[in-house]
Amino acid sequence: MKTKNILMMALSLSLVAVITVGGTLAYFTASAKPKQNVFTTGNVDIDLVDQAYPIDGSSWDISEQQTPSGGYEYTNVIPGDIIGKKVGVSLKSGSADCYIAIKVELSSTVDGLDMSNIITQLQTTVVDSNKWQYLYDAQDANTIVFYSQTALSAANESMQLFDRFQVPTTWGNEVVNNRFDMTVSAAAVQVVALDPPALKTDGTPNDALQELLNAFEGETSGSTEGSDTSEGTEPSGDETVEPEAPVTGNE
Amino acid sequence: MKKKNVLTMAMSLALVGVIAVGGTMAYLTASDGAVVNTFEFVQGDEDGNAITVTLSEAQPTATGSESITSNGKNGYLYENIVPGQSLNKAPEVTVTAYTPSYVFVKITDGEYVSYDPTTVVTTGADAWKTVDGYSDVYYKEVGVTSGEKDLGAIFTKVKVKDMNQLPTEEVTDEVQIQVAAVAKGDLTAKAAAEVAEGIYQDWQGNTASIVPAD
Repeated sequence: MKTKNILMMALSLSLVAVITVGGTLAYFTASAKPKQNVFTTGNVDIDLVDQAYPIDGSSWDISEQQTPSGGYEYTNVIPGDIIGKKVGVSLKSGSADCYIAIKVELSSTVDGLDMSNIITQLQTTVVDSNKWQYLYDAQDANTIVFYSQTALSAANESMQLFDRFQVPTTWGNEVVNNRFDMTVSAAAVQVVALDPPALKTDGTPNDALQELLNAFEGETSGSTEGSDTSEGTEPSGDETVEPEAPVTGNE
Repeated sequence: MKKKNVLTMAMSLALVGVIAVGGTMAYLTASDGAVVNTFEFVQGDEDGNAITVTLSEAQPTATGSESITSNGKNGYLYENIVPGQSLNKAPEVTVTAYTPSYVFVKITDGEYVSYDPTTVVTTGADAWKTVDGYSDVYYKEVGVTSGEKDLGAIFTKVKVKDMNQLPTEEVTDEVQIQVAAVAKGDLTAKAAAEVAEGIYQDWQGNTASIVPAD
């Protein structure tokens, strides 16, 4: 029996391109310009908020002259005074969403002045514990780091840590002619690809929290960018149909 | 009939992202600060005192035939007094304050001798004020003083009990006066008086030893 031969006809692709005047048959082509995808890294940038304001009836004053680092100088302070000070952080325009942390460090010209009362105030009363958690190590008793699991974003552009605190009444005559300092700094880390800052079950900081702690070390205003503006290129991404040879055909 | 076959070329889309040469991808971070705020406490005297109070008393003059001599306890010894006698005694308070303060005076009567509250100035510009809940405690408020400020006498007389209330034998009795100063801040007088309670104990106080006449 004759095998049925399937006649395979050569595939022919006939494309008839109607060309304009001159009627030269030209390749029917289509192409797209090579696409350049540009990857520009965004930035994360924050402002530390540190303000001083007077409180009616207080005997302390805010000096007009700020400290070299931009902080405030309070004078005539006595134990028991409620100090008007706002500390927080805000998102800079154009910044990506970020998790934040604020570090508070205390020191004094009085040797061994006990700062635990102020630390306890920050931990328990003046700071909203629904919004902030803290890292505190008794080995470094005069420093405390607060961090938030709520990110700064366009919808949540600023967060306040506290707006006042009390000079401990446990301090007495030993503070006369002396002073104490409160140093504040802020850190931020991108939200994308990171879980909110927290301590892991083993008690060590997770990635976000560790990034925040590392960022404090830089402690200068500025942001880091993961890479410079870069370009990605790709070959024509669109359909390209390019018959190699002129064809004629009329089907 | 020729089949019309449509040849389609597979599309291939290749995306190549070129990252900065040699760059390690790191999380984006930022920091701001450190900002230092300084809190200067009140400047006091060179010894580090923001408030200094003194209690003193000039030699009193006798009202009768009693003899009055220093008692070595910062006060005076009255001898040969008679029952019911009113004696001159006017302890004075001074204060040097570098910050607004309350100055408290606390009087503790003896068993047989007591201060005369009618001699405490409680009206007018120089009045001593009383504190709710505290008896025999008086106070004045001062601002920052330029140097030592004299707050005047707290009282000017003490009274000896009547005959039938005195013991028959010689006895030494005391009227104790204590002084304390508390920086005002935003404390009420009552709150400050409570702070003063804890300070009084350190004071020796001004006492008057009173020895009844035979």
